[in-house]
Amino acid sequence: MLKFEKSPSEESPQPERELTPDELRKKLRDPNFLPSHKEIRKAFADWEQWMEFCFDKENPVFEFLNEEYLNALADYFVGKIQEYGASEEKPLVILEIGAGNGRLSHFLQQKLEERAPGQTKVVATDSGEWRLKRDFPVEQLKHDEAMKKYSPDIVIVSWMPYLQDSSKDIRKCPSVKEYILIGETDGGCCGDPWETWGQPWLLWDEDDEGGEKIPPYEADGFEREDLDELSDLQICRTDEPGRYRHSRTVSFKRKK
Amino acid sequence: MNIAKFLEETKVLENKLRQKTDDESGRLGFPALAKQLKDAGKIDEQIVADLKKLWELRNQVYSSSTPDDNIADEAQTLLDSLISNPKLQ
Repeated sequence: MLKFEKSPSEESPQPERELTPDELRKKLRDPNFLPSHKEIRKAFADWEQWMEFCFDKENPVFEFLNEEYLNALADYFVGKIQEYGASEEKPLVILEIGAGNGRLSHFLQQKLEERAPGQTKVVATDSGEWRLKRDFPVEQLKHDEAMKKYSPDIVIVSWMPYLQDSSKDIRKCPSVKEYILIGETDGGCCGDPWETWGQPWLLWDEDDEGGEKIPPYEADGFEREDLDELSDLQICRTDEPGRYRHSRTVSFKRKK
Repeated sequence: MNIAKFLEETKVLENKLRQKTDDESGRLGFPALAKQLKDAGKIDEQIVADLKKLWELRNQVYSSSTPDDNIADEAQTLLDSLISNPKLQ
């Protein structure tokens, strides 16, 4: 009887080898790969590697999306399905504006489909102003056009450009019950310190802008909630290897 | 000074300020951090103004998808003066 050697595919599966930091960094460039928090932490040994990766001219990285964060964010939105009376007949519309390459919306929709099939609709839109490469479907629309077209229940903005504020337009949109901001908060590099976050620089100076004034979101009838459990899972470009604390997730909800 | 060096040194300064305010979580916004130090009498208004200017420069760099490779001389001078300020040691 003839004996054949086993082909590699027939051999018993070997335990998967852990990737080296170099291999991980290469893999992180694949837009379809959603790494774990640990894999991101392992990929960078020093500041130079971190900077080189985040400031890559073709694929700049602002937020390191990861499995744990996306799971927690999806769980958060599942809770909103009931809260806002959504269903398969009337899915919860989550609109991302400034979606860039569309990765956040892509993975979020994927996670939501696993948890609540057909009950959410995540739409990624971007003005196209930054001419970023698109890895997933993103509809080219300015934020006001996008809100008019989709009448969202919830709006997400990840890394709102510095000193720009689209939150006041979001609050004006009557369908919006809540908006979620992801990125640096309160005087960091996302949005406008006062218009977006209600954070003046010189709190002690009453003549300063916002000194004793009501934050704009509050004046517009919204309340802020810092989602700390989600923020603890975030990693972003303004962090450094070993210290992850700059990016946060904050909800602004229309008061009833 | 190149951007990477500027951001690295700004980060060292930020970490130093967080230590001075016992901000263990590291979650305090930078303006709030500066306010705490000023309220505690650890820094004066001029330092606050310089910190604000530096932080705004830092924010501009981080928020850009493709920042310039080098930072303006003004930013370097500001950073050097803050790093060497005895009140921030």
